[in-house]
Amino acid sequence: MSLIETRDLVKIYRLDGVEVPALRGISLKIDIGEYVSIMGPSGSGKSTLMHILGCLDRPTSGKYYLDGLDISELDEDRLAEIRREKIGFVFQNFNLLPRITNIENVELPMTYAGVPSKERRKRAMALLERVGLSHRAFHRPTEISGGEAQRVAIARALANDPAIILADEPTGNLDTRTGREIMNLFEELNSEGRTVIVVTHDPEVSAKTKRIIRIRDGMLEK
Amino acid sequence: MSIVTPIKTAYTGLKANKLRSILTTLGIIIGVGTVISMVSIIDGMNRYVYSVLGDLGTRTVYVQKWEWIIMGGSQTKMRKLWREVERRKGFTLEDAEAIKKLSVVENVAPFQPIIAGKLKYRSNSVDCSNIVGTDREYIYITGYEIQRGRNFTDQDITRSRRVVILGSYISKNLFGDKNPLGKRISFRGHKFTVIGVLKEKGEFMGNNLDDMMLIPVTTALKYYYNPRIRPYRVWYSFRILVKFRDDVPLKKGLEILEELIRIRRGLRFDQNNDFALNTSEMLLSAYRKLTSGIFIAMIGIASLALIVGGIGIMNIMLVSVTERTREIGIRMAVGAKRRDILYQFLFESIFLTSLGGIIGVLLGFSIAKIVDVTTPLPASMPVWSVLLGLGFSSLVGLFFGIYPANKASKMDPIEALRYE
Repeated sequence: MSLIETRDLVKIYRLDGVEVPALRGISLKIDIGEYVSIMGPSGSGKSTLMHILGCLDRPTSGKYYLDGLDISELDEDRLAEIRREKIGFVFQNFNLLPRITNIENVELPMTYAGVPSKERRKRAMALLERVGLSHRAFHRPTEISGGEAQRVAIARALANDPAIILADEPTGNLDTRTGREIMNLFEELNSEGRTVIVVTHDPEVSAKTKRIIRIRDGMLEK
Repeated sequence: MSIVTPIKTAYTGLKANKLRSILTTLGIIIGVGTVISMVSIIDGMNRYVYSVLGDLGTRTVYVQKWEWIIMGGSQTKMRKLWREVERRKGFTLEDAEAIKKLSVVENVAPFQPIIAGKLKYRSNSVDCSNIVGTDREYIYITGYEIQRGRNFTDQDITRSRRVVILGSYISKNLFGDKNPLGKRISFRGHKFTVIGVLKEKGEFMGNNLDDMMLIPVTTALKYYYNPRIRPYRVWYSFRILVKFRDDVPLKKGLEILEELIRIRRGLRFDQNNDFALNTSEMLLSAYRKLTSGIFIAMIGIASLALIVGGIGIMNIMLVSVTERTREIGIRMAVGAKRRDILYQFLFESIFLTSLGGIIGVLLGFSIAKIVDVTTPLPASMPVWSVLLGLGFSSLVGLFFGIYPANKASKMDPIEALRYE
């Protein structure tokens, strides 16, 4: 069975009484250990797809199975649990909390998972070591560069040892060289067996992945 | 998720906005500070009043022309009341003798106040405020004790001797460390021989209880009492102190006493009393009425301040929720449930108001201490008032924090993440 399987995913937004379809029947499968990019121009529905795959949103109709679980049936609390156990998000603008230190940012998902504080600190430190930023552990996100911030964000995404890393334009705010470093990091993670999904509109980024899913006007491009 | 985490999270949030947090809690600080200082002062006064009035004995009855507590209303009405009191028949030594014969009575003392004046001994002089004509029973009823010398004898009374027992304050001022016994002092043209000195009693509501001198009641009536001087017809009118036996219920004693006096005054059953039986119990109940009024007013002021403070908290929390929309989105994305977000903001507002409560308690306590030191009002801080202050301030945080926290927890994570 696939790690991710969607059947006829449809998402319709209602804006001032007008129905705007964002996804119009998407069926796809992603297996454990895959390194996939979801590509499409802006407005293609790739963000919506990512939100549904990331369990931040539910489809209007259709089915989404994650690890065999029917996500479309779950309530919000269960969705929050799945987000924190199975999914690690990496965002274009890093989305670190500016008021707390980097290591506290990495600890955040573990906090909500109820990991004891000593254990949390130990694991967060190991993860920062893993992304080469242990020397920045007690700085704040505002005191480090964009590339470093994205590494901290990746360490945070790995906090609860999730099955999937879901990255939304992870290199969008970085220069080319730093962007490449981040993509290398994803490749490393994938080579360790982790499933990585990168949402992007940048062909150079998608070229690094092993499979490209193209989406346009809310449908998969054949 | 444990209880510690949201508290820590809330603390971090507040630390980032120190000045704003303090300003926001000002209403709470003032509200709690008011309650604590007022409660401390009133509680201190209560303890004081009860201890001193208790000393005096709530079982002591003052038989006299006027009621201690005359609730008149308008000024003209009050004046009319006092004119009526003035026309009433005064009490006499014979009344005191008759009361003494009642079986329910333990002690009876006549009590003739004399208008204050100067006491002199050689070149020393002192103003004495409380001058009382009475007999040997007086000190048994009022709780004074003779420190040196002797009490009055029957002969002092029957022969209207010019002898005097001095309060410790008067004795100290006239004689210093010297032995006052047997010395002759003068008061308004008459010489008195000192036969005793009272033990020190201290102060009550700013009144010096040792600023006092006792002379035989007959001497007071003979040399100083003058019905043509108006105070002697009202404020300084003759009264009788009565103390009932311990095994007699106060109510029962009062009934018997009232009956006797009505008969002696020839009152018909349809006529109202033209005299009063005053007890310190009456003073206490009037005092209680007064302080409960202050209490209610204070609770009003404090709740107003707390409500205003609470609205301030709600306002600032709403601002905070909006400012941190993105943070909420991030927290939800990494796995925070709606409940986690709700608790975070709820704890933050409770934390804020409790902080205000703690500062308010300290402020109130300082005010009470200042009042205690600079005025005759005593202050004491009861533990329950502190708990009440802290409890109420956190309740305000809970109540006014629910709406903003709920708003935060109801956010759509995707919208929140997009928020700039």
